[in-house]
Amino acid sequence: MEKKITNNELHQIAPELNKLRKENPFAVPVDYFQELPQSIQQSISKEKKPSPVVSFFSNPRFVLSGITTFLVIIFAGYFYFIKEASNGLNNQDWVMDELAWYSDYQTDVYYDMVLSLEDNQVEETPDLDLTDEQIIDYLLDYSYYLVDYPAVEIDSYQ
Amino acid sequence: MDHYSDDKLLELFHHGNNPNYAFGLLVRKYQEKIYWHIRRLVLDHEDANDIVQEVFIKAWKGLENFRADSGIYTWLYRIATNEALSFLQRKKRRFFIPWQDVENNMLNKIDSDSWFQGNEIQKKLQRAILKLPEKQRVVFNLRYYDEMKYEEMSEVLQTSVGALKASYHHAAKKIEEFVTKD
Repeated sequence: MEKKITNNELHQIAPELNKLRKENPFAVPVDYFQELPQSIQQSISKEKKPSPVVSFFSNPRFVLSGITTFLVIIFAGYFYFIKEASNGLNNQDWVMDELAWYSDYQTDVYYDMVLSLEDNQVEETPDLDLTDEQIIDYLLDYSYYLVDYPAVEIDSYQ
Repeated sequence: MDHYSDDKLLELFHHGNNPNYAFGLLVRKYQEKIYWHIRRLVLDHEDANDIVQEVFIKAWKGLENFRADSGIYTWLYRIATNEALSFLQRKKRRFFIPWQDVENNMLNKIDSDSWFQGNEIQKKLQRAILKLPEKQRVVFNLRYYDEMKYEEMSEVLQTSVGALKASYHHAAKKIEEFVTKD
């Protein structure tokens, strides 16, 4: 139908042109149109198909799971810190025990060392008129690690 | 395979189990029309082959959101026309040459192209078509070779039917004059 319309139209506009035989002067390689769909499919598969964007708030299940996860994290964090605080106290006790043991050990070592000295191994010291308090102060300043246990331990060695 | 209507193909693509299959049917239905439309604009087979692939890749991407406000047929023609004209524009810009020289190159291609099988009159007709402004060339090809209705052409080129009729009238007159002289 449209063919007849276009022929009539062209006949009125350009009758000489209408007399020309209408044909396709171009050609394509053999089997081109049989292979073209496959070639197009291959080109398409190389292109990455855009993945659909899903809004977090569009699905109530996503929102519910998000809230649940948030609450779990909050509770887990709360109980973790409670436990840590408790452990902290225990750790402090343990440290104090360790320090006490270390202090005893060090004191014993010095005491043994002094007792094992022979007279000739001891240099004469100037005749200082030192009181016990001064000696204790000196030892306390010099052996700072005895600070926490000076009085008791030193007294016990005397 | 041509018995599937556009609506049926769209339904298969959107709601069927295998969109690739539906798209393959669409390609088979329109590949020749689209290829020849492009080929008449760019003349060279290799160029036409590249462009037709690009057209169907764009169609594949766009078909997801395609709403049947316009027919698939005119939609594909619109993509093909835009791609072919963009290709020619790029070619012109790439080599910094005026359209006159691009036209001469294309004319020479007709003479040397092994895939051109027309006689002298056909060569003369193609030369006459090449001398038209781009838009008139598209209008003439769509009406003369594809016998497309003006209403459909209006959807493809987004131009009024009256303007298309006037464009075709001028183009046909100019071509007749070129072909019949000497």
